[in-house]
Amino acid sequence: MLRSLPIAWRITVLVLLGASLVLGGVSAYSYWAARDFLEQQKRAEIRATAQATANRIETVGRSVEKIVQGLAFSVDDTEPGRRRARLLLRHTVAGNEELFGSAIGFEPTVYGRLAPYVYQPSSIYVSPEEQGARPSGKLVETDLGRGGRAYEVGDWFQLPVQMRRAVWTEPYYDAGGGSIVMATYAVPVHLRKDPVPVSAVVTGDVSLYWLTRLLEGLDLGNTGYAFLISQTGTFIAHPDPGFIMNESVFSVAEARDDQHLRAIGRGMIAGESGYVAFNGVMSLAPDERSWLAYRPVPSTGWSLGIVFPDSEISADVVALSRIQWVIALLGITALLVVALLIARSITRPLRVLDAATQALAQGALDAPLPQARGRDEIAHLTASFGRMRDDLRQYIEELRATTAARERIESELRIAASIQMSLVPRTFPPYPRRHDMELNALLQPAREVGGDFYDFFLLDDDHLCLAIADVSGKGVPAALLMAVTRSFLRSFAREGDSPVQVLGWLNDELAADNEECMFVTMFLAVVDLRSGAVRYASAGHNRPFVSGGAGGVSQVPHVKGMALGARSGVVFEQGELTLAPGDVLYLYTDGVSEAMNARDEVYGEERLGEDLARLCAGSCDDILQALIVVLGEHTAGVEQWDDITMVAFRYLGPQTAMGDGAR
Amino acid sequence: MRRRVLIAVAATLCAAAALAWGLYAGGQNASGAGRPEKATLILLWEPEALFAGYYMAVEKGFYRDHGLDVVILPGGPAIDPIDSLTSGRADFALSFLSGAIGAAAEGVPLVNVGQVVNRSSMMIVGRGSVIRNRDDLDGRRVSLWGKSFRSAYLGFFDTAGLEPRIVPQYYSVNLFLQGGVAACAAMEYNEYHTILQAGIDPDELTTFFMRDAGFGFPEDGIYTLAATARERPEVCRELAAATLEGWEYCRGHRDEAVGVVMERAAAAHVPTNRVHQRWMLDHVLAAVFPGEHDDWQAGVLSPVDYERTRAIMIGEGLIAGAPPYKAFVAPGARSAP
Repeated sequence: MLRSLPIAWRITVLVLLGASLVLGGVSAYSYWAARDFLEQQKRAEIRATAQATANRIETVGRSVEKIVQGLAFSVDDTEPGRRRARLLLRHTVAGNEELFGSAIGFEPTVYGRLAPYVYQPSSIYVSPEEQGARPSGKLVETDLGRGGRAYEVGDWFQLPVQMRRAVWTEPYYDAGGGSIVMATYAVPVHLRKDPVPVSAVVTGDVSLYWLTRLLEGLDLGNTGYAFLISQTGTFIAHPDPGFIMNESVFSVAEARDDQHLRAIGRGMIAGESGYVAFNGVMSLAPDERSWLAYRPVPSTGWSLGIVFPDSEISADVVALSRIQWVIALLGITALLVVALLIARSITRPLRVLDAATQALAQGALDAPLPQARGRDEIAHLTASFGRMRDDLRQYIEELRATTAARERIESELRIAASIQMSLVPRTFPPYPRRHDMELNALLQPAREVGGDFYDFFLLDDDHLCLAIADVSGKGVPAALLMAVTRSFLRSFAREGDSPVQVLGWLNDELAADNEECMFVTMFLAVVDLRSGAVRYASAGHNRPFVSGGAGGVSQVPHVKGMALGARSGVVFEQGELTLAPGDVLYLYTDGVSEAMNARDEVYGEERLGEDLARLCAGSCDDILQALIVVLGEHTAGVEQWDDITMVAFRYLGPQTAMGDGAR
Repeated sequence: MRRRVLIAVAATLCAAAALAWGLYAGGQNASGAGRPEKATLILLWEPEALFAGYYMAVEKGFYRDHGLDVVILPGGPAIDPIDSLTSGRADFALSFLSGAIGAAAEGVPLVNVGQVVNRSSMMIVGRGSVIRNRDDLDGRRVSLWGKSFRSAYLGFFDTAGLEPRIVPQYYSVNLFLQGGVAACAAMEYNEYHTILQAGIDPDELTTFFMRDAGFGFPEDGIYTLAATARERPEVCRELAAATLEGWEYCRGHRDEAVGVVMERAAAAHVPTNRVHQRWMLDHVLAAVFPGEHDDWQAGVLSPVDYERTRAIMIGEGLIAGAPPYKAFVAPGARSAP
C-alpha cells in the first residue's frame, strides 16, 4: 500500500511513524518515571502526615490522661466534698482546651448517686446539630446522678470499677450529660476509709466533633481525608458525621463483604502501622481505589488513618501526561506539515525529471530536461540523463551513418559475388556430346566474397584446359583481380605451348603493376583427350589428387612454382602424368583442405585423400556433392570463412566413332 | 347503716363497672369502623431490629386496620417495662418470659397476650484464648445482665457445676472487648455480632447457646395486666394479631424494615449501623417464625416451654412458685389444645 503512494507521502508517513514511535516511547517512559516518582513522594508525604497526625492525637490523649490523673490525685488526696469537687472540675475544664467536660462519679453504694459534672458547651466541642437550642459558651455544672439516674451502668463508670484501672471508653452519646458524642478517659479512685475497692471514677471527656475538626484542619489535598477509629474499630472521627460511632471499619467491611478491609481493621486495632491500597472508607459501597497510611495512637488505643484516593495521587501525573500528549500531538502535526513540505521540495525536481524522462521515453529527444541546481543526487541524475540523452542522440546519428555505410558495402559485396559467380562456367555437363570425359565443378563462396575461381575450356578438339585458382584477399579487389586473371588465362592458354609458359606469362602480366601486392595461386593442366596425357604446372597451389591404378588416390607429383604476381620472371616447372580411362583428377582450393571445425582442427589433405579414395568410384557430380556433405559434417555449424572450390575430371578414354567436339 | 353504706358503695361500683363495660363494649363495636382504640406498648429496649415487627405494624397500618391506635414507647437502660405496666404508663409491655414469670411470682398480676420470640438467642461468648470449653468458665469473670435475664444462665452454670465470678453487664460489651471479663452474656442477634464487628473473628471466640443446653427460654412476649386482659380482650387479641402481621411484613421486606429501624435509631441517638440491624433482623425473624423442626407456633407461648421455664426457675431457687399456664396466658393467646 505504502509503495503505491508518492515518494513525498511515503517519506512523510515514514518520518511521522518513526517520530511518533520515538515520541510515544519517550512519553510512555517519562509518564511511568514521573508516576513512580510522584507516587513515592506522595507515599512519603502521606506517611509523614499520618505520623504527625497520630502524634497530635497522641498529644491530646496524653494531656487528657495527665489532667484526669492529676484530678484523680486531688480527689484521692482530699476526699472532696461536693462543693470542692465542683470547684476542682470547673478549674480543670476551664483550663484545658482538650477537655470538653469532666466528672467525678462516686460509688452509689457508698455515697448514693453523686456525680458532679462540669462541661463546656462551646461550639468548638459541640456540633451544630448537637447544639440545638442550647446556649453556647459558658461552663455548665450538673450532676449525672440527679433524679436517681443510674450512671453506674455507663462504660465510663463500670469499666474502671470492674477493671480497677484507667480506661478510654468507646465513643458514646452522652444523653442527659453533655449530650454530645464523646470518648472518655476514666480513672478509678480508692479513698482510704472506703470498704469498696473503687470509691469514685474521675473522668475527662474528649469531644469527637472537636477531634474531627482537628483532623479536618489537616491539608490533605482535594480528596484526601483522615479518620480515627477506636479500639473496636468504631469511627471516632470521620469526614461523614453519620459514620462516627455508628459504623466501624468492620461494619463497612461487612457491608461490602470486603475481607481485605477487615484484615486492615484488625491490624489497625492491634496497634500496627501500615501503608496499603484499599477501596476507601467514605461510604458503605466500595469507594475508589485509594492508599491508606495508618498509625496507632498508643495512649488511647485508637488508630489513625490517612486516605488518599489513587486519582489524587495520579492527578499530577495525569495533568503532566495530558500536557505531554498535547505537545506531542501538536509536534506531530507540525512535523506532518514540515515533513510534507520538505519531502515535496526534495522530490519536486524528481517529479519534473520524471515528466521530462516520460517524454524522452516516448522518443522526444529534444524535450528539455529540468535545470539541475546544486550538486545533489538529483542534479547528478539530471545531468546523467542529459548526457544519456546526448549520447543517445549521437549514437543514433552514428548508427544512421554506419548503417548507410554497411548497406553500401553489402551491396558492393553482392556485386562482387555476382561478378565472381558470373565468371565461372556453371553449366554441367559442359560438353554433353563428348563421351571421352566427365567434368563437374563447384564454387561455394564464403559470406564475404573470396577470390577463388575455376575454369575449363577446350583448346582444340583434343585438348582440355583445366584451371583452379585462389586470389589473395577478399571483396571487390579480389573479384576484380580474379576477373583480370581469368581474362589473361583464357587468352594466354590459347597462345601458349604449355601450362608452364602460360603461367609464366600470367605471372609477368600480374606482377607488372601489382601495387597492392596481390597474388594468385593457380593449378593449370592441359589434358590430351586422345591419350589421357596431362601436362600441368602449379603456381603455389594445393596439389590436386588423382585416382588411378589399383584404386589408390594420390596427389599429383610436386612441381616448383610460386604464386602469380609476387614478382616477375618466375620460372615454373612442368609436371606430367597420364590418366587411364576412368581415372579422376580432383582439383581444389585451400577452402577445402583448411576447412576448420569448432575445435580449430583442419579437415586436412590426408582425410581428403582418404575420402576421395572412398568416393572416386562415383560420378564427378556425386563425388563433389558427397565431399560437400563430408565437409559440412566436419565443420558442423562453424561458419564457412573461405570459398570452397572443387573441380572433378574423369577421363573416359579416347572418343570413338564420330568424335566431333563440343562446338 | 354501715351495711347500707356498703350496699350503696357496692351498687355504685357495680353501676360504674356496668358503665365501664358498656363504654368498652361500645368501643369494641366501633373497632375497625369507628374511632380506633388507644393502646400504648412499651418495648424492652432502645430502637433496634428486635422491634422491627412493631414498627412495621405501625408504619404499614396493621394496628389501625385492627382498630387500634398504638403508641410505641421506647425502652432503655433505666426503664423496666413491667414497672411501666404497674405504674399505668403503658397498657402493654414486652418482657422476656423469665422476667415475666419472675414478676408474676412476686405478685405482679400480668398475663401474656402473645409470645413473639419463641426461640432463645441467649448465649455466652468467651475469648477463645481463655475459654476453650464450658469448664473453663469456672472461676472466671463472666458478665451477665440483670436478674430478669439471668435465669437461663444460672440454670446453665448450676447444671454444669460451674461457679464463675459474675460481674454486672449493662448495655455494652465493652468490658468484654477491653478484656475486663473472660466471657459475657450475649444475644446471638445483637451482642455476638457487635463483638464480630469489633474485629474479633468467630474462630477467636467460644460460644455457648442456652438453647443447646436446654435453657432456651422463650424471650420477647407481650404482657398486660390481668385486669386489662379481662376488660379489653379484643384489644389484646388484635394487638397480638397485628403485631404478627408486622413481623410477617418484615419477613418479606427486610431492607425496608431495616430502613425504618435505622431511622428510629438515628432519631433516638442510638449508635448503630445497617449491617448490624440487618443481621439482627435476620436472626430475630428466625426466632419469631418456627423452622421445620420447631414444635412451637408463631406468636403463641407453648405450655411446654412455659412449664419448663417455670420449673427451672423454681429449681434454681429464683422463685418460690408461679401461676399455672392458664392463669399466666390470656384466654385468647393460649395454645390450641
